[in-house]
Amino acid sequence: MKRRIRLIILVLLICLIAGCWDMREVEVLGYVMAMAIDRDPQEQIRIIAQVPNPRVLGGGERGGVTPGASIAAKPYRNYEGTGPTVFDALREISHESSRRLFFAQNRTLIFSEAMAEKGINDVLDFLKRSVEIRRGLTMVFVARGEPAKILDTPNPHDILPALRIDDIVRWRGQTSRFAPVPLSRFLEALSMEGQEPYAGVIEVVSNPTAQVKEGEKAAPEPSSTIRLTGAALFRNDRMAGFLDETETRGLLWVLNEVRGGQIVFPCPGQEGKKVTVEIMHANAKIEPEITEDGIIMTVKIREEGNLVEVEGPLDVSKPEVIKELDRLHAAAIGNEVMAAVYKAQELGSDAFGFGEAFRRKFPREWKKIKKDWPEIFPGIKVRVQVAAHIRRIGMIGPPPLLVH
Amino acid sequence: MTITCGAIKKEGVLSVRKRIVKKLHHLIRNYACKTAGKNICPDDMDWVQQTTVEKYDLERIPIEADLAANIKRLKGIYGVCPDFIIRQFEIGGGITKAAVIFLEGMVERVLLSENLLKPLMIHYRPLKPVQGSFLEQILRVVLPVDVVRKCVNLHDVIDHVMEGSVVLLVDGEPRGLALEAAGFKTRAPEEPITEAVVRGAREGFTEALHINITLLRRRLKTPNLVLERMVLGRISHTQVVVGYVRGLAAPELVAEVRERLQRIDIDGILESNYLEEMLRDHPLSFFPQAITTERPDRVAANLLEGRVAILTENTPHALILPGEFVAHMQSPEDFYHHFVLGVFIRLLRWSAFAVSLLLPSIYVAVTTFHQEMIPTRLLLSIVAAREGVPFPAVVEALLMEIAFEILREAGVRLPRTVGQAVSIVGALVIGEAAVMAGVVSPLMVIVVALTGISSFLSPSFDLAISIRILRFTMMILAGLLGLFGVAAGVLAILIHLAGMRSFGVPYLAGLTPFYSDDWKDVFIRAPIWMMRRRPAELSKSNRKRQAPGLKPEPPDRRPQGGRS
Amino acid sequence: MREEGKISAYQAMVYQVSIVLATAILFVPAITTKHAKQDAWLSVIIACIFGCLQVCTAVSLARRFPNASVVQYAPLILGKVPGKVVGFVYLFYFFYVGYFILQEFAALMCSSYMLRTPSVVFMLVLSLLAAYAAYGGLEVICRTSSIVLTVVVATLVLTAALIVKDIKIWRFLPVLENGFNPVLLGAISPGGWFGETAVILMLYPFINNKEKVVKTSFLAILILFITMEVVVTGAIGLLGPTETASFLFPTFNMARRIKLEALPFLERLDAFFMMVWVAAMLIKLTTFFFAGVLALSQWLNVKDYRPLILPSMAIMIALAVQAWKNITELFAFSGEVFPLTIIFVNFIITGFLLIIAGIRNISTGNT
Repeated sequence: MKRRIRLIILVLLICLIAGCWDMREVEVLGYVMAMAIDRDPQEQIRIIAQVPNPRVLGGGERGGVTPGASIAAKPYRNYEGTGPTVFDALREISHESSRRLFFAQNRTLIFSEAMAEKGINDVLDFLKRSVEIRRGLTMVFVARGEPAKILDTPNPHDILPALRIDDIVRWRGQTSRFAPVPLSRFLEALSMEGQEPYAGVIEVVSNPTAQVKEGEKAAPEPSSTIRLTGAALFRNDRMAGFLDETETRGLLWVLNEVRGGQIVFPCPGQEGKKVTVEIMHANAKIEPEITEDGIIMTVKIREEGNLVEVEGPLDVSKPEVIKELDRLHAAAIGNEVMAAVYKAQELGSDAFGFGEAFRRKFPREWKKIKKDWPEIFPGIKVRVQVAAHIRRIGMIGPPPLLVH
Repeated sequence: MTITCGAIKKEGVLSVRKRIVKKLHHLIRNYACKTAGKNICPDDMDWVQQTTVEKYDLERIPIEADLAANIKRLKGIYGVCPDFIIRQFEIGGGITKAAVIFLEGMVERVLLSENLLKPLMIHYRPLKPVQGSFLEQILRVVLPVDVVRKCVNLHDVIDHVMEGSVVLLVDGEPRGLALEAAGFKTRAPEEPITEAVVRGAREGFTEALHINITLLRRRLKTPNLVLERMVLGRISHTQVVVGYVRGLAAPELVAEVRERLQRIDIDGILESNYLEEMLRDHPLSFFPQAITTERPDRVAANLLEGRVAILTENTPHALILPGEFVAHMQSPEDFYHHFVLGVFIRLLRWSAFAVSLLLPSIYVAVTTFHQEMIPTRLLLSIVAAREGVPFPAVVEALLMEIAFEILREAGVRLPRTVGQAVSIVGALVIGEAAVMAGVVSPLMVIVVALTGISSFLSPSFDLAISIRILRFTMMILAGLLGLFGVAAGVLAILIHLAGMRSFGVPYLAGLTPFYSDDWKDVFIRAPIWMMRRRPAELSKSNRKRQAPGLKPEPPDRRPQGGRS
Repeated sequence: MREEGKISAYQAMVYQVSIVLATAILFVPAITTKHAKQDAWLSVIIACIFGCLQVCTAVSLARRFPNASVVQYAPLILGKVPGKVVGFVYLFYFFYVGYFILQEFAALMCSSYMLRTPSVVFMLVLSLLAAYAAYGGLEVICRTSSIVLTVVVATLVLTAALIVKDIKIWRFLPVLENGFNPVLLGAISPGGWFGETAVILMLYPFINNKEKVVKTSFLAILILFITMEVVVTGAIGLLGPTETASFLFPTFNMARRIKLEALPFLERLDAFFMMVWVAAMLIKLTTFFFAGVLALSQWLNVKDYRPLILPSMAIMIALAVQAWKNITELFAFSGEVFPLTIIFVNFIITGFLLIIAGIRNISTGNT
């Protein structure tokens, strides 16, 4: 008994003497919040990692940083590393960084456009294999423009560009017109036979509200700002092209990723006037069919929305008007989906997972055609059936003009 | 003469020789006494030379008919103790010589003079010649004292005097009477400070055993409440009372308690913890194996579950056995409020238990090993707070916990008025200053404070002690191996607990093995009408504690009251 | 007052469940999905049927000899030398699984959580805890495992409840894409794991209500079946079959995916999941280790198994350290060789013993 206890204590002491192999204090780590991957002209992997400066972030008031403020007060640093592989490039950064880089907090992964076009397969393995990278949380983007610039766009509200991107992604349901995708979904789509991956698109646009006035004390509006827009479609690991914002929502309808947003369509009987509906719930299903004409995909979408804005004098307190509006906004949804389908077929990227749906329903036939799917996909017919319903109409019945 | 051979082998020759010499010496002296034709006792031993007065010595000295001889012997034993009083007087103005022996301060003086001295000295009327000795007649006719015991030898005399009786010795009578007149000062039962309740009895045990027994009797008015008296401690002669309800407590359990108590041979018992440490199944374990309480209602409730209580003289803390783990998470007050509150408090208590054991270690583990678990913004503020703190998180946590323990201990020891100042200085000033100076991070202060406060939620101070100590082990483990270390520590504790028994009851009884009835009183506190059975491991035979179907209902919904 | 080493049939069930659960929930999804793809859940059903068969064999053998363990009565059935050999196979099997678990455990900890900590540390800590529990005896192990098991199952249920909204039914389609063979292939290794419940052969003499053993053994299989099914369907429904097959530890990746919009601090719970899993692993190791040491003491005719604990622990760690050179070897082994070896012991040898005992009509019980 006594000997046993002594033995245990001894072992613990040995641990104590030699121990703490994996211990790392919080403050010695550099938390990579966003990562951009690019290739330099020598075909080396170039990585930009954004690391916050907690001294500025947590110390005192969380004031914003104005462009032109001193470098010491800058709440983040963007490190750049270059090397033949991702890991090498990341370790290259340690020559400059006082902190060991830590990737488990990373939520944003940006590929440069050029890199995405040439294929990202080489870097994906690291991203999948690494223990630290959180595939379910990291959102994948393709940068339109220079990634370094995107990661260095300050904004007084969210001092870290990385956190800002994360917050914008959180509110993606406001429009559903950009398509951030978790790395896990991206990789899953890449591994599936009948589905191609897509990614969000990120860019920097100039801020039209920025006005520099002489002698003004308050911080001016930043001159440029980060914007998430649309989607990038891939064919295998190569980017095939971009979808614009309307097309992106068309894609998201089919993928069941629409969480909200606005649909604007012409007001019936009122030339030039518009009606706006906010999407509340949406649900989609793909039903493949084999006919003599070839493969037909039927996309069935059910949508429920609330009326939020009516421009023309339309009496929405009448059920038949609502019925008409249902029809019109169903058509608007259908158009979005079709636009996306045409664009995707043009680009030859089956990001919708039509092939996957086909495989699920016709596994035997799929085996015969799966090799030719890239050729078949641009030719398949897609039908969209939308059942859209307006459920609520807001706080008033007919618009104010009609009441008189 | 044969002396046990086994003993010779074990001990050294020298000590054996000593023992033989001592034994012989003793025998010779006794023999000398006998042959001298005097009394059959080691008469008039040199008590001053003797190191201690032993019971077996005294038991051999009978009370003699000669009062003077008795008094001389008693004086020899007590020496010059100022509180030892022998009052000699004459019964009925010269009929016989007599003496009362008592300890000043232990007896009720009024009782002594009114009921003993007055009837014997002033109001004494000569007795009709009846059967029986003079002493018995006095007892029957003269003395209006309720409890009287007979003394045969000096041990009896001294024993009773020590407990606060007055012993009456009459010349010519080889016996004495011990008249109970204990009247020492005691504290009145008041609300125990460590176990205060909002609702419920405001009485607590005191240092006086008879008051404690009364408090218990008043709660369980049944002849089945058995109280067995024992005197333990060679010098302290502490009275210990084992109480249980006959028919509820398992006879094996009672026998086991009795046996273990009788095993104790010690000079003195000053507090019930002396007993607890002697009674434990696992003497080295951190965890308490008996419930200690000052509340008679808690004792009564536990006796009703079939446990055994041990009341000890001179301490308000009673022991309840067996004290398995779950029993330490139960407070009597759980049953004095609506059961929903009971459920809530129980859940809170279990979580506080987990917090006070694990929070600092989980904080250390998560911040130094598993940074990926912390939400980004929280992480950034932790980093900002820890910027410039010179110690690793483990050391910081250990330092802060030790500082907390110091403050806590200081708060207990210091005089009340000073204690308050210390706690303010300690908690506020030092804490604030340490944070400002950047020696510790503010988050650590929060963690330590939360841990400290959580540990006060435990209804059992003993359990809280073990948690306090284990917390440090857990912190070190967390610093070494992160959450794996924490898991290993928790598992080690779990295995340890699973291997323990308290008086035959598995220490984890109630948690495992699973009995659905028992679970009504573990993580929750079921309504009283639902708790139909006593704990399974405690009472094996007599488990029902209430009639079935006691759930109260409005009269119109009662099945027999309905009009079909 | 102390009843040394008597357990109830339900405690035996706890023992049977804990002997399988820990590794099964971690490895079954990857190994099964590798073969059966989205039909892995079917494989689990088949494996369960196979498991029932094995438990039937084991229980009916055990019932013939109610007061002895298989190591003790194997010589009775087969004669002295062959019986001893078979006994040795059984006892080596326990240690074999034991050191396999140790290495598996260390591999996971080293590749997912603590990359720099030497794997021996994990083995040492875990085996010391197991030794501590083994010193306590059967009762202590059963009590510990019943608590740990409750926590593990509760965690699994919670995990499942948290991810259920992200499970996509279409990931299970099409059913039987490649016919039935891959499903059968995928069933081998979970089937082997189900067979580990044959540990009842060692426990049977200690059970005090033996008439319930048949029922509780099947209950154990049922519990295991449900948990495995939860893990497998959860992993496939959440990660998809190809992803599940490509991860080394899909269950952890599943836990990693837990995401609650309302409670952002509950996002990355996999390290807590790891803690629970450490507990599960510990009871698994303890159960095997205890069975092994007990078997060893019976094989050597030693009265008390306790003195054997530390030496056999040392041997086990040594075996674990040298047995596999890298994680790929370990995984290839665990997928291809390991299930067959345990099926060999649990099913084939047990069945063989049962048949011989039946033919020669040997039994010591009255049933």
